[in-house]
Amino acid sequence: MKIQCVIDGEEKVLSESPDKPLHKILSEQVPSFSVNNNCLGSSCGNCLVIVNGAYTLACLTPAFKLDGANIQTYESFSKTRLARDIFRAYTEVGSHPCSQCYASKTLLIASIVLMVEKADELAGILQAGRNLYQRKSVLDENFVKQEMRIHKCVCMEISHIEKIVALVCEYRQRSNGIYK
Amino acid sequence: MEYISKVTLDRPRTLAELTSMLIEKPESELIAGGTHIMSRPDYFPKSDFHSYISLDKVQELHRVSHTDKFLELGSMQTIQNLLNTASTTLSPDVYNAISRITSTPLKSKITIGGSLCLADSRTTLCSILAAVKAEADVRFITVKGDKKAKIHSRWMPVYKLYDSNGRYLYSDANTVLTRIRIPSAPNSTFIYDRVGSITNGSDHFVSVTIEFTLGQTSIITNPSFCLSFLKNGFYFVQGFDSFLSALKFPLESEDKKKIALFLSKHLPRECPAITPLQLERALRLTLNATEKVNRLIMDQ
Ligand SMILES: Cc1cc2nc3c(=O)[nH]c(=O)nc-3n(C[C@H](O)[C@H](O)[C@H](O)COP(=O)(O)OP(=O)(O)OC[C@H]3O[C@@H](n4cnc5c(N)ncnc54)[C@H](O)[C@@H]3O)c2cc1C
Ligand code: FES
Repeated sequence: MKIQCVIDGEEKVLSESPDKPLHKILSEQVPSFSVNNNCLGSSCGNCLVIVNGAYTLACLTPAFKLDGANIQTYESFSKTRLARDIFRAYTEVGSHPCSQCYASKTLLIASIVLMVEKADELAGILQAGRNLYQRKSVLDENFVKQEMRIHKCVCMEISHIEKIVALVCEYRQRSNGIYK
Repeated sequence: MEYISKVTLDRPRTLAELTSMLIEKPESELIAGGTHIMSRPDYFPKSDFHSYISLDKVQELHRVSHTDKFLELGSMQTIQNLLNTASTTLSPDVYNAISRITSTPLKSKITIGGSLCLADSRTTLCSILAAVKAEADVRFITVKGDKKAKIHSRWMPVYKLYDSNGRYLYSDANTVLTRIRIPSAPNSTFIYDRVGSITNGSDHFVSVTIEFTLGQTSIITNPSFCLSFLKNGFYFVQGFDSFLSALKFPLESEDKKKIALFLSKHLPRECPAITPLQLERALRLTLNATEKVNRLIMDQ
């Protein structure tokens, strides 16, 4: 089937079998995209990408759902301000993902940051705090741990990831001028 | 060499179109969120011809409606959509149990229909929906010889979709689960606990789900109790016509012994495929859950 889509800002017209998983398409289309552990959805998490703004596992996304889609891999995400804030927080906390999972874990952390911001917004919280769960937002105290379950590589401690997420929220609130 | 696809895919837009396609191509496989189908080791590339019907465009399967008594959701609604729409229908404990099923990228893909219709695996959502007394509308399409197709639909309680080995009873028939109804019970008490992981092998997984309404005088009404052993069994009892009938809450230690004895005799007979570890875990989880019920009653 013919698929028209945008991959990392570039328009593409592809001819693919409708059942072909997105991670296989991306391995052919994006030179830097590689999934080391082709686990077929049993949660290695290495194939995480953004499709139409939603963070999703590429190995569980069939080609037929991609017509008209806007697909972002780490390649283009790494140039965004959100990515730069995450890199800065890695350094401030002194904890970085390993080279095997750097791209996908950074994307997953980005998705968690956006969920925390949405939860804060719903709860009317504009104040950043360094302890995620003391912000009295609607988050479950195991929220980050649960979201990280989609990713098997345990190269970073959950408590470090929680700090990184809180820091990134703080940077973003400051630069958006809503930090009090 | 160019890869020639052996796969055909249809994307009906209405239930009527879907029904005609199923009559025409009864061998087709339905694909909903695709998380189960795409995790099969032989998923891609296919060595034999295969035909899929995707449910993603069927409008009726995306519908959501509310009444005072229940919430109705099309089977293509995802777990995440269920959470977004059901926050007032479900009690906070049920809501939290569903939100902990898995991480958000997966919850946004897994559909209600895909979860309930897995041929041989009773995952978290099945137990939760069975325990909260949800019902499912199943459309049966039968074609006999050259005769016209016979189509009928039936509402049935979610627990009746499975046998005690945890198999979905209609996976071989030409059926579509079109919608579910969740009764509104914002004040019911709900307990869910599990050990083992869905992705790490079925011989370890056990979940226990209990739902009931707690009256003012510590009387429990309308209880349901469900044990899921993923691929090895599904045990569901409703009302006090079961082993719960002889018990008075709060439970004494003698009562707890009775429960343990009953389940250790009864479960291996009802669900013969469960492993000794699953039996042991089922007893422990059940006793922990009854302990929680006791505490709730005593705190009242
Ligand atoms: C890594 C991972 C972790 C998971 N963890 C959990 C967990 O912790 N708890 C949990 O509950 N689930 C979990 N799941 C989800 C679960 O195991 C299945 O993958 C999911 O239930 C399938 O839903 P789907 O919509 O993706 O269905 P699909 O993969 O599209 O389909 C599944 C089956 O249902 C049939 N089907 C789909 N819709 C219908 C319908 N309307 N009528 C009739 N038949 C239909 C299909 O033909 C197919 O046989 C996990 C999945 C993955 C990949
Ligand atoms: S390749 Fe997608 S989760 Fe592992």
